[in-house]
Amino acid sequence: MIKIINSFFFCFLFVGIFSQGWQPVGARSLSLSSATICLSDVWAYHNNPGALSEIKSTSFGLSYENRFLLKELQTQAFVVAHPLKKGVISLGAQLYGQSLYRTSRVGLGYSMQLSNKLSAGVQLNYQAVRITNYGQKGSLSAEMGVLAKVSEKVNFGISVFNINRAKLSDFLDDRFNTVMRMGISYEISSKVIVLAEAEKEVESAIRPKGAMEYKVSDQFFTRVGFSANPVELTFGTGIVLKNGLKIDLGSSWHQILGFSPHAGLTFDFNKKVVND
Amino acid sequence: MIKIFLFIALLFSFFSFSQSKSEIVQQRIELISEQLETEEIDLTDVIEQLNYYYDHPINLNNATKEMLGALSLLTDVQINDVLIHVKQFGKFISIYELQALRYWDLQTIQIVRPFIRVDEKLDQLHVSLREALKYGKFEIYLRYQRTPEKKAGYADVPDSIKMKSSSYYLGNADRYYTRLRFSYRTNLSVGVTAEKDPGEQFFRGSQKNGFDFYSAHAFFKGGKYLKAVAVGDYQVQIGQGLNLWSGYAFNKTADVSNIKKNAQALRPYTSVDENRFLRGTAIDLAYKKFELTLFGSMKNVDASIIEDSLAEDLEFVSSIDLTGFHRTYREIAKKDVLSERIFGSNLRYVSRGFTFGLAAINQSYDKIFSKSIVPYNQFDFRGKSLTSLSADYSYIWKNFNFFGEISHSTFNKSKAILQGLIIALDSKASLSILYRNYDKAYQTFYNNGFTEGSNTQNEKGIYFGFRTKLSNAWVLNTYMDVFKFPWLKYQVDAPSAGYEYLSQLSYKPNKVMEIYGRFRQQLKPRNSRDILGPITQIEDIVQRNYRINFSYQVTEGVALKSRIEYVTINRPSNTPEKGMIFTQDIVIKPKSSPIDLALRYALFDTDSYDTRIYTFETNALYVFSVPAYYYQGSRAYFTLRYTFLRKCDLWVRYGSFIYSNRTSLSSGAEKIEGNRKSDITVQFRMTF
Repeated sequence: MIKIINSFFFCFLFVGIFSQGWQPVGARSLSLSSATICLSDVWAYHNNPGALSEIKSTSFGLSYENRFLLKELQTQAFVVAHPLKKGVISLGAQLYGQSLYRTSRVGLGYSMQLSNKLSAGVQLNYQAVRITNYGQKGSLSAEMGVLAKVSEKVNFGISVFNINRAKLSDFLDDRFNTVMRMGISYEISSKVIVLAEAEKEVESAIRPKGAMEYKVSDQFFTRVGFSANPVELTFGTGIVLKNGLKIDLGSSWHQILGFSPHAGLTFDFNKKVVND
Repeated sequence: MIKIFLFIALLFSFFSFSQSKSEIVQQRIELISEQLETEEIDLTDVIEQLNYYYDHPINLNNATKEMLGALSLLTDVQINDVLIHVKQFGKFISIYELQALRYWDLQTIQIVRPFIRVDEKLDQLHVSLREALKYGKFEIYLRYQRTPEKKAGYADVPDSIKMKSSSYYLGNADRYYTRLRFSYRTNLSVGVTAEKDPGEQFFRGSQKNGFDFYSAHAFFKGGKYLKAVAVGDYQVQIGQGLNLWSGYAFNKTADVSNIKKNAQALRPYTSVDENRFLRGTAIDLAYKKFELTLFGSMKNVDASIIEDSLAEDLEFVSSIDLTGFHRTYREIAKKDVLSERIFGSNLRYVSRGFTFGLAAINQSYDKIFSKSIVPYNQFDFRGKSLTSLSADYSYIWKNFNFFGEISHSTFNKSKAILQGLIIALDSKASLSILYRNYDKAYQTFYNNGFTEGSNTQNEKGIYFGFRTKLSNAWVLNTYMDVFKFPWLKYQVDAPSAGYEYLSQLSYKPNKVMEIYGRFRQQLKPRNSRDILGPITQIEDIVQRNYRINFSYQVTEGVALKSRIEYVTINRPSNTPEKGMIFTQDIVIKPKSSPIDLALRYALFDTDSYDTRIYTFETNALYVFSVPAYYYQGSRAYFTLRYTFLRKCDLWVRYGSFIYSNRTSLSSGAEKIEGNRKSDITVQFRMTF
């Protein structure tokens, strides 16, 4: 019984941290403890709009996460990105919670390369919170991100979600969370990428995060990551099918609350997998 | 032919080090032992092995998995790499070829280089006893150690008081150690070790035989079917240490790819830890790829005895004492009162990429062990005997090394599981993952598994370690260990959880200079100091250590090492505390001179004993300490080594702590009036 009460207590703690606005999504990203600000797949939409400009073909993705295996704490997300003549246009959404308490976010983004070393992206989101018997509240927020190529192997990224610090209600100056993230990626070899990131939400302690992705073969990836405040370990695998469909599976693990599995699909049109 | 030799010699000089043997061995010892954090550690085994392989480098062309594993410097994937290379491409012609190996980087080569060689002269795997006796060597060690300041326990009081009070030591403050050993390579070893701890009597009173602790062994290895035989004191190591592991084992170190234990089935025992060894007979048999170790041990252990008031001849043991001290009348009364018996067997299948082992061990005491029950220890061993069964394996698939062990103890029908994976991602990076789950009631007498706590018991956890070479000069080592204790622990009155995180970034632009920065954060629960009512709450203690270390080989004969370390401790029931040390070492080893000198000067300033900082100190060969510096003051020592007559070495060491704002140090029998505490070590060695 104590365990259950504890779990609920912690869950609400997490609800407080994550739910109002941005929430980490994307299966690959979650397997890498969301230290993924420098990764430029379609999921960059949810991590760093600046990194999205590197998309070469239309891509879309679906992702699902279940925190601590509790049916009340599920997140669904999707994203589509389409390269234009100049820049990349994107659309995405996420949904979290259940009928009693639900948050949602949809947005439209545009990213482009400013030079061959720098790209930037902006995003306009509408996010809302709905609580049964209390009604629904929503507002607009802006998101921005930058990705800089420091060298061939090193990338540096920054992103800010909810720059305008959109209000949830006037009561007690209640605002949607503003999250600022800063990180680097380092490609140690053609097989190994190391990621490090710091994430700060206005009212929470800084979260240091580290992760590593290892390409076992062209079709198979393994990932691990960790983050502090609170401490969580993550791991996962990725499989790339012949037709270009990527399946990502993994979980994060919290000492007391246990496993939070996640899964995702990503598909790149016109992109053929090279077999060697 | 000569040309080839010249060429090889040239290559060797390319890789050669300006560092001497003791330097290389010591660096290694320092790296792995630092986190043991104890005043007294005995790493004789580890150092002996490294020293041996330094003097007799392993020839890679006929090295076995066992030999390379004994170095404890290489991961199994790297060892496999070498073995496959020899099998596929034939013998190594030059050490340069190592660079072509997939999972060897230059740094690994540099670390291992002093311990390996590549040539035509193959090492003999099987050695006859006659040959061993003919070419063997003698070694004699004599050592004297003492704290010159007078401790309260050595006060001049009449014997009648000493015989009643446990606050007085019966013997003098000297520590004597002597060791005689005859050995030939790793194949033959016959030796006697004897030791008297400070405060113990010598040829007097309770110590009629002189020394308090004697250890003798005869060990031979080298037959084809009869692989090894040990008589006397020996060590047995099985699997990953969940069932039985005598001798030291390392857990979390800054060397994060080294989490797998390389068990050495049977070895002679040469250390002076008075408990962690086996005494009796053991044999190691081999047939094709199968090996079987059979061992039996019977020795006495210190314990407190309570006589049953109802049945006269019924005795209980209430506690077992593993300190090995017999200084006061009370400690002497405990000596050797309990007899411990261990029988076991370990069957292994060993091939290049796959090892599988099964072990069954029966451990028993001659009296009933029945310690008083308090909530935290209620699942601990009680009774007379227990049997443990374990299975372990190690499997290499490509660059993945899977390993693990499962052990079952008949006491409380409990089990312990360990499962690990080391991936050599490529030559520049490796990842290690280790999961363990030890029952709260799991018990064997001498286990030494991967743990956060002190016993292989009551723990669940997962460890991630990652090592990468960011560029030629930069190396990053980092690990995160998250653990949970399902039951109460000593001074933790509730189930609890914590974590430990370490990150070390080193910069080594050339062979002579290295700088590293290290950050370590630990979260450990303890009982709160604010006790309200009958229930003690637990609280999280966060400890952070920051370190910068700089080492520089100025010339061939002079090396400098500087270190600054800072620690903070935060706990809700106390004000935040901090501590720092500042140390400077100078090592002078002129090449042509028979004298080496190591000096340290350090200042330390910590708010409390809790914020103490452990740091490795150099000492005479086979003497180790990683003492804690705490309170405020200075520490200085010198260690002088003088080599004479080619066969003799003499070490003289003097060290001293001078504290500020203290009028007395320690407490009880160890109490010293004044603010100075020093130590003297003199050691003589002769080999012939």
